[in-house]
Order: sequence, then C-alpha cells, then structure tokens
Amino acid sequence: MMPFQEIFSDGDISAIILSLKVATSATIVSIPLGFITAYILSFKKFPGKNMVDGIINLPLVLPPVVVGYLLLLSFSKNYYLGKMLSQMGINIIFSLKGAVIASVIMGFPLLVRSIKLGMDQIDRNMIYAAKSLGAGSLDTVISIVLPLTTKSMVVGMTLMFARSLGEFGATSIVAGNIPGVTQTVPLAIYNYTNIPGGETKALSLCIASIAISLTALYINNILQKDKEAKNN
Amino acid sequence: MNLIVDIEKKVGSFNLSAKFSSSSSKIGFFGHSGCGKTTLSSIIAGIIKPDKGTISIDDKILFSSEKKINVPTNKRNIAVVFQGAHLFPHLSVQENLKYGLKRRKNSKRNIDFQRLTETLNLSHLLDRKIQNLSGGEKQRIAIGRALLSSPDLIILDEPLTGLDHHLKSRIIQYLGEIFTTFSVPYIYISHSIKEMRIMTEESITFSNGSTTEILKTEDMARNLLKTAGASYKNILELTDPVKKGDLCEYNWHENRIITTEYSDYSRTLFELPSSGIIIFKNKPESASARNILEGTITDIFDVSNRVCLVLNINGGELIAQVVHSAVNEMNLKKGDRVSAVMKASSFTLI
Repeated sequence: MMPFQEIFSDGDISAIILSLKVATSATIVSIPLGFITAYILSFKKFPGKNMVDGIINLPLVLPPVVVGYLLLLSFSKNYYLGKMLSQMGINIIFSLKGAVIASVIMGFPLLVRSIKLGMDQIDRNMIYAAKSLGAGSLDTVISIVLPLTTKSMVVGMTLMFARSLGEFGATSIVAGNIPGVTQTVPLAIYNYTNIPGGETKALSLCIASIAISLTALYINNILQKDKEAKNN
Repeated sequence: MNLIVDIEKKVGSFNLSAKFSSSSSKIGFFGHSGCGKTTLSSIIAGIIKPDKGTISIDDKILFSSEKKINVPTNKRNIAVVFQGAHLFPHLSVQENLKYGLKRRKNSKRNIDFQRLTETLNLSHLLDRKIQNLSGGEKQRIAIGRALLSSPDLIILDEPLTGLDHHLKSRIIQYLGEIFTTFSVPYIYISHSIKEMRIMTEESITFSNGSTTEILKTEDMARNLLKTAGASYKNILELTDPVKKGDLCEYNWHENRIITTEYSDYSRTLFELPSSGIIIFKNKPESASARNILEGTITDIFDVSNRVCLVLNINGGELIAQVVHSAVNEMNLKKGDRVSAVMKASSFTLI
C-alpha cells in the first residue's frame, strides 16, 4: 500500500482542507439568514413576494459562471461595493472570503428551499393555537417553528455543504485558482486534468471528494434518525 | 362575561357581518360549513382582522376600527381549541398542557394543574409523547391546555368532529360540566344541533354570512323544527341510576324514568324522539310501556302535517309529536292535563 504522502501532495491536502473550510463556513454563515428568509417566505405575505422568491432561487438556474462574473464585478474596486470594502481594508476578490461568498450565493437557495418546505408543512392552526395560549411572535418562532424545522434544516445544510464542496464555476472566477489560497478540490482536479500524467492524482482527489460527500450524507442520516427517535 | 361583537369583514366574494351581544357563558355558533362561523371565531380570537367594527369582552376593547385598537392574539386571553387538537408534536403531554400556563403571570393563574389533570383523567399520560395517543386523549389534552392558560374565554371550534361516535358521546357527557367546574366561559362552534343543545344556552345562527340574532338554543332548535320540519329529539339529563331487575330507573325533575340502558355515571344524557311519546287524555290503567307521566300542555304548534305539543311534567319539559287528526279527535288544547306514555326502550344514550 502506498503511503498517504505519495497519494496526496501537500497541494492536494491543502485543497481538501480549503474545500472543507469553504463548505463549512459557507453553510454555517448561511443558517441564520436562511432561516429568517425561509420564515418570511413561508409565513409572511407582502407585495413582491414572488419576485423575492425568484431572486433567491436565481443562482439555481443561472450558469454559475454568470453568478461568478456578477460577483467579480460587484466586488471589484471599480464599483461601489468593492470600493467601500477596499477602503475598509477588505479584499474579496482572489481570496478565501471570495470562495466562501460564491458558495453562499450558490448554495443559499438549496438551504432556503429545504427549510421553507419544512415550515410549509407546519399546520397554521398550530401556530394560532400557540398564540392564543399567550405566545408572542418571537416566542412562537423559538418554541414551535424552530424545533419543528430542525429536520429540514439538517437536510438543507447537507445539500448546501455538498453544493459548496462541488462549487467550481463561480468560485474560479471570484476567487481564482491559487494553490494553497483559493484552490479547492474541484479546481485542483481541473488543474490535474490539464497536466500530462495528472490522471492518477485527479482520480485520488475524486475519491477524496466521494469520501467527504458520503461522510456528509452519513452524518445527515444519523441526525435525521436521531430526530425521529426523539419524536417517537 | 359580556361579549359584544359588531364587525364586518370581506373575504374574497364572501361578506361577513355580525352584530350581537351576549352575557351567557355558553354561547353557540351554529350553521353549516362555509357559513362564516369559523371566520367569526377567528376574528374574535384575533387571528383574522375585521375590516371595521368593534369587539369587546366586559370592559376590555379587543378591536375597534374607530379607536384604532387591535389587541394581538397572544394578549387577548382567548384560547382556541381547534378541530383535531393541534398539539405540539415536539413536546410531551405535560409540556403541551403547561404551554399556556407558563406564559401566564403567576397572579393570573387560577386553574390548578393537578385538579385539572385529574378531572380530565390525564394524570397517567403526563410523561407520554403525544404521537401514540388516541383521538379522545388528544382532544382532552387540547382542552386542558386551553383551560390551564386561565383564559377569559375559550373558543371550541368543532372540537368533537373527527372523533368516533362512541368517543363523542363519552366526551360530551362531561365537557360542559368541566367548563362550569372551572368557570370558564366558552363559544362552542358546531353544525350539529344536538351538540349545540347539550353545550350551549344561547346560539347565533348564520345566514348568507350575516348574523344579528341571538336566541336561546332550545328556542333555536324549535324554530328549526318549525321551518325545516326536522324530527325533534328531546334531550334529557337523567340522574342517580338505580338498577331495577334488567331495567334501570333514573331521576328526572321529580319524576322517575325507567330505561333499558344502564349507565355508570351519576348523570347521563338520553335522547327521546318526540314521535316516541304517546298521549292519553286519561291515565291508562295498564300499559306495556314502562313510563306513564302526567303533565300539562303548555304550547301547541304545527310542523307540516304534524303537531308538536310542549308538555310540562313536574318542571321537566318534553315535546311530543302527534298528527292533526289526533289533536282534533281528542280536542287537545293549551292547559290540558294529559298522560305521556313512553317505552323504556325509547330512551337512548347519547
């Protein structure tokens, strides 16, 4: 059996670690906003709701490169947002932050859709019953909505995590493909396929990807079962 | 409790307008589905906002379009029990019961947890998950949960719909008594005239989404009988059962009534169809029927090709249905003393 170092180069290992970092931070950062967005879309009525729903879901149907290019423009120093951030000393383009932001935008609709699906299934009369028993709006969210949507939140987080692991198009444009800085697993694999004799290395990274994704699914299943066991 | 409602609400093409006041603690909303009774109760609970008008309980204004007052649902102190219980699936029975209690100030809590769980026969279920409970148990928990929030008013929206017949009759036997015991006024919503008559004193009926009239429930039932010609059933609360051979004897307004059905409870509701009573001018010497009661005719009214006689029997009231020719032949009129003869098997448990 080949030793670990011979299968993965230092660059490969840093790509795997970067991928995990990006996917984990993108998922964690998105949870609060994802929950609030799903709550508003599921429970509130307001003019232009369909429009908001459409914009949030847009990254699902747009080519990732388009999203990446639009992000690149917004964060470049020639435009307002990028200029403002650069004055604050924050640089998004070609940094790990850029990779995280790209993943957040691309995975957000998956997270919101899952949570919203869970919220849509809560019988509204149950919410009214809670309110009629004296629970205010925030109290109702914390005591009823949140516990009843943990399952769909876990599903959403898994989907978002997996989507972030595979993010290629938007990330490559916003964050570039800098080994050790922004080169995640998919970008590293892409590089290997362009180098003569890189097939074995590419394949090893593919297997690493499969392993990480399977682990994520496995954890998802355990959390789901745990939740079901608690409910029965 | 004095409830005053005067509101208007347009929902799509449906116009609801309601104007009534009641000081009864047992109010009924009666009507077929889609008549607006659930919408009106949601408006009273603060779930739906009316277009204009006022709602108040005693001195407390809950809604007033003029004064721009709209008290939110959680501050109205009106607990709602929906059809199908709607317990919180992630909480245990005890946590469900205490949901409203915990959100009430200590000084405002006036229902004792232990006494309530014992009355509702829930003590043995407290630590259970709600998933494996029966429909009747769930509905009892929902009622307990509402009561424990010490509300000023409880709205019961078709609480027995969906339960099987046997369970329904078990619950309705003591449902009214529970609210009386804990002295909580309620609005009972149903399309069943039988439930209305058992549960409520005053009723509001809806026609085309508008309601202005509030009637004594018993009067409403009789009006319904006059207009629809529906077969009327007397509802009797019989008490203190004593076994007599294979029959059972009960007390009813100083009268003894013999039935074929025995009940374990000290008070039991029975139905007696108005057509199951035979009227004699003179007391028959002997009859196969086990119940012969003497009373006075207090009212006579026509229902299509039948005549209804309202009888006062030692303070208890019964309606007997006969045909026109019988009334003419016997020359029955108000104030006559007659004997009402009823078979023991004519009384059926509700």
